[in-house]
Amino acid sequence: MQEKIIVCDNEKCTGCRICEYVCAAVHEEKLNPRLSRIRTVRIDPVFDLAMSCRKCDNPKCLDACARNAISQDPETKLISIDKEKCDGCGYCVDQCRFGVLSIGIDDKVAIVCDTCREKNDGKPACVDYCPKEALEYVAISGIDDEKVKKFHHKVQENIDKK
Amino acid sequence: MELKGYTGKYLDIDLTNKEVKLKELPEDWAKNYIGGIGFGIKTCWDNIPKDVDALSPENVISFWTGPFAGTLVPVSSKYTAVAKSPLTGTIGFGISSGYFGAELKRAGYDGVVIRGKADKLSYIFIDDDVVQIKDATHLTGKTTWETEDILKQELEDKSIRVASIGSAGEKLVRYACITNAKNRHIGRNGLGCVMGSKNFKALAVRGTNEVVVDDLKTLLKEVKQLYKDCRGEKMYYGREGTPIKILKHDKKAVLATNNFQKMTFDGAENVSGEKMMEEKVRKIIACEMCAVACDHVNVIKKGKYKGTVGSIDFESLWALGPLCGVDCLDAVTKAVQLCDTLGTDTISTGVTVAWAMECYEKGIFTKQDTDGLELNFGNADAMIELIERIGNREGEFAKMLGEGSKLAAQKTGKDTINFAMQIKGLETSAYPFRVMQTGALGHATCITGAFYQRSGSYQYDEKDAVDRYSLDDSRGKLVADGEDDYTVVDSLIICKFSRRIYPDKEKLAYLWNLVTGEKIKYQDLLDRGKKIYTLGKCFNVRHGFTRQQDYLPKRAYEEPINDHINKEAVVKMDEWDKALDGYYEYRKWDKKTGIPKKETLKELDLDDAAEEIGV
Amino acid sequence: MKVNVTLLTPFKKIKEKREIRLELENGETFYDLIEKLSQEHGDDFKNNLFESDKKIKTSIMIMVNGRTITDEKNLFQRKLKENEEYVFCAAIGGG
Repeated sequence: MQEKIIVCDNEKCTGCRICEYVCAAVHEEKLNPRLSRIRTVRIDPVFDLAMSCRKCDNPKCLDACARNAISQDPETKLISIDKEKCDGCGYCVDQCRFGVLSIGIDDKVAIVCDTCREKNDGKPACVDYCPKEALEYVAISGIDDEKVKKFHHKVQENIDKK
Repeated sequence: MELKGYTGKYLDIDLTNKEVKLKELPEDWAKNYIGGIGFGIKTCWDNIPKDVDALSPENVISFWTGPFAGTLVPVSSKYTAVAKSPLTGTIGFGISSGYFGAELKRAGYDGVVIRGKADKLSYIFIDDDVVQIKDATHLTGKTTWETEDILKQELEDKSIRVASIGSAGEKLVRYACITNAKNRHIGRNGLGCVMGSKNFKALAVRGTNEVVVDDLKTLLKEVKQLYKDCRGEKMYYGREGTPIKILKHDKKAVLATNNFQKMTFDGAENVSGEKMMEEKVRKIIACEMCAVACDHVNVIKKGKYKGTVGSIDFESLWALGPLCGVDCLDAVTKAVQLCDTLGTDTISTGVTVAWAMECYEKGIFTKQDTDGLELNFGNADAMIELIERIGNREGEFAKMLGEGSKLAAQKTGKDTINFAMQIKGLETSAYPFRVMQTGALGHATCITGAFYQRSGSYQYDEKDAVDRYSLDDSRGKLVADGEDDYTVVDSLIICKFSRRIYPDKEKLAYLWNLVTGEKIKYQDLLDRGKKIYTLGKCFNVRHGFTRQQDYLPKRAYEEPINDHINKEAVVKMDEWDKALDGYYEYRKWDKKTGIPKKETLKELDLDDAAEEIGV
Repeated sequence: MKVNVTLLTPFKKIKEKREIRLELENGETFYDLIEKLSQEHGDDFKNNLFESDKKIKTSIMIMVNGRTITDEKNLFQRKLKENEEYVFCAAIGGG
């Protein structure tokens, strides 16, 4: 199985948050973008970007977890959270330099993108619904990392905190 | 609340007594007033007796969303603010989008009602179920943009949404607006001025709850196609945008120039939407839950106005461009940014400045009167300087203009009221009366003053589906049907730019069903729309408005337009009266007074309104 | 027969000019006008104008001397008049 992540073109992204809405609807069956696994930021006046799990090689989130609640599939690089073990401490959220983890506002455990396996017919819902085709589901080796390197701190700084 | 989509709760805040009350939304409101402006009009009807001065603590301003806010319906993160308007004395409201509406819903409230007056400049922070009235004296004089940034920093969360006023609202410019997300405003009727009169600087909100709808699964499936439809060929809004109407109107000779003295503009190409797209638009961004994305943001890269950022739509471009004879996009962008940051309505600002320019060119104002400004049409520098002074209320001349073109003209005298292009005090829009007469009728019957957004009746003129140079008693139906329809749109609330994705309006009723759980037809929504609009009319009647105020400025009746396309284009008074007759007859209101008849009000279950207005 | 044509959005500027002075040798009707424009400006023009054979897109508006004629009956048979000004533009509302 090829490792793929969701990437966003910040020039195409309009900041509409539809990706956040559908992600939360698909994963939690709730209308609350705060439950989304993909997070958006708008930095005035015109910078919009959506970020979700980058499937890092040495995930800082995994290292940060004191309860071994975070694991990574060696083949797909998918990050998983064991809800039973997670106590919502938030260290993983702080350590992720892309700001793509959060503590779910309802059940208070960490949530992270799972690329919609077993949901939405296996196609990431955010990519499926994005009205401007700003989101793509691509193999990691095909990513222009320069852009992400340039912008990831912006996401981390501006993501909502509660 | 039986119907889903609503939270069933709203806040009632008294700034004088510093009291915050949590109230239940009356059970019958959804099925009678839908939401949005429906709830706002009902609130004003219930709370604002006649003789209340719009600038007094007795005025009540309420913010409302509709059941669609926070759901997947495009384009639904909208909210309204409704009050007695300090500009017109009628009911006044505006609708804005951005991120604010959905956030307020997620905080747990369908609306916020605000009464009284704070003893010092204050802001309200709604943090889910914790609501605080806080000191805003440190925000005195801050622009709307600064206010939003400062509050996000103070409250330590960039996801907090803020609706605020600038210097114009604080200093009671009568057409001051409320701004959120920098580029989004509640404009027209001076709702920002009402906030200022209450020492109410900003409303900040953080909402972390879910929004509950009746059938999320089906809704999720349905909207997929709707989002695609938002990018259809007719949806220019998300591509070239409404500014492309400049050249279109110029070619049709309906581009009001130099305060409506001409209908074509030599500089049209320089302020065209096409040029703007090519040279000035840095990016097109969206509001929350919008698949259209229509926000064209100009960033000026060089020259005198380097660094200026302004979000421009057709009406603003027209009002601060051709209407004032200005043919420079950079200058228009600067003017728009000033309006947005100081917090004034761009249309009213442009039309009032254009009136002042005509007075200056006619010698009615001297350079001394204008505090040194050479207000010739086309003098962009003077226009920009004047707009800044109006927003800050600097100097007697700018202060007078901040009262609106009607009051400024009444004060100035010398028949300048004849070309103060407003109705009931609200400055009119880019659809000129003499050459688009069905549109004119819609502007005149509009309960908030001269505006087309309550009926959209200009569309018949634009398509030449009617004889746009004359009127008869059949036009009233076109206007009234448009009013009821748009009232539904403004109560649900969805964006008017999303209307084209519903060629079959029953789809909207179907979305209502999926969100609220109530199975109805679109006609049921229209019936509620008619009730809401009529109640708004009753509010105006209570506050002294009759048929007498449904007339155009004298220019429209007495100064024919003549050019290569328009021949002796003027509104004829006898035709106007017949058209008004036709409108009132269709509405089943009294022809002579324009007041709704008792039977008509009873049919709409507005018996108490009938009694109160004495019919 | 000489007529003036202005092409606005979504039709692109033709060689930096929006305004064209069109001469039709054997042309009399509006359809002849469109044919001529299609010949001179290619598929771009046709694709922007038509949604199918002989059906004009609902996203397009056509004016002659300031009057909107898009919904006129028998539009294609409309007789041209010398020096008429035709405008091809967008059907867009609001602002």
